[in-house]
Amino acid sequence: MPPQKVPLPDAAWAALIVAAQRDRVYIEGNILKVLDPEDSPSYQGYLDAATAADRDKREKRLQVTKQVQEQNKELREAHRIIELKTEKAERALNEMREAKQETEAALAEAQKSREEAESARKEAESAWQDAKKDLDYMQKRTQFELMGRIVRVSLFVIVGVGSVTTSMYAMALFGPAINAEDVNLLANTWSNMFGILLTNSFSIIGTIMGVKYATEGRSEES
Amino acid sequence: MIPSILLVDDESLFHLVFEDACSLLDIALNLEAIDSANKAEDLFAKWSVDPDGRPECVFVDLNLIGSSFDGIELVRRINSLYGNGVVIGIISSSCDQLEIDKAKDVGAQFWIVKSDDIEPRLEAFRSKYDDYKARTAPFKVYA
Repeated sequence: MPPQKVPLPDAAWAALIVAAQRDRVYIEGNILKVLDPEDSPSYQGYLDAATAADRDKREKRLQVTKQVQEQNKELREAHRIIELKTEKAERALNEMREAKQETEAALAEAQKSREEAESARKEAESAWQDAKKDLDYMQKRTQFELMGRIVRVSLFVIVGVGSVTTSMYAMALFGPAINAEDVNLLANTWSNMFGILLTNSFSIIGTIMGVKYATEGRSEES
Repeated sequence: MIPSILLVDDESLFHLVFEDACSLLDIALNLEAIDSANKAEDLFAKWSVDPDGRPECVFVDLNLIGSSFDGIELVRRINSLYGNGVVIGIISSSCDQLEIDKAKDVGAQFWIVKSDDIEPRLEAFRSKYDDYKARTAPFKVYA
């Protein structure tokens, strides 16, 4: 449907034509499509000139707008690519942060394990020291028991041999009549035996004391 | 010539392109351009009560950034909620067949592909406009 035409008074047409001739200024836009020049060739001439100027301007503007639109598309695409890259970089950064956190956690875990191992080592060392002390104590105790037993047995032997020899000598002296040579022999025997027993008993005691001191010196060194 | 056109497109530069192209091709006298589907729905809600100022033809962009629904949903709402009284179609740089089928299903009458050379497509559309208005023209993609 063609648009309804709008007539203008002659004075308005005249003013528009003067402005066009003097300043090359025309009305523009869709109003040109509805103005009615009626039958006036000058009004029609003005409308044609104004329409041509308007068309020229619009064509230029359309080309510029299209160029700007194209550039805008390129900019938006570039912006999108930058955003994608930024997003990728942020993702990589986050992954790095996570990896760093994981490494730190692993390091803390390792430190904790090291401390636990150190603590276990100290406990083991302490247990080893305790065991060593216990073993030392056991060894010393065994040694003392052995020494006590040796001393006891030696004393029994010394006292036993001494008592038997003394009894025999006493019987020879104060018992029923006995040959004087036998008494003399027994006296020598008793004397010799007693001397040997005393010597041996001191030798045993000396040996025991020596062993004891030697053992104590070695345990202090270790 | 189409008496009044409403363009719904979020790209304001395209408003200028469309306006100049329509003016150069003598397609429309009165062209209004808005950038949001929500604003368009509000306008149609108003026009369903008072049809004064209601456009005769509506061009809707497919993807309307900043709107709560897309162009196809706007076409559906205009057709189903506010009366099927306008010539309505999609104008988009996309030519995805799935979207085109969806638009057809909701009552779009045409699909114009946006490009640098949009004038010939608008001219072809204008030549069929009376058939669209009479609802006798089949759905067509101008690519």
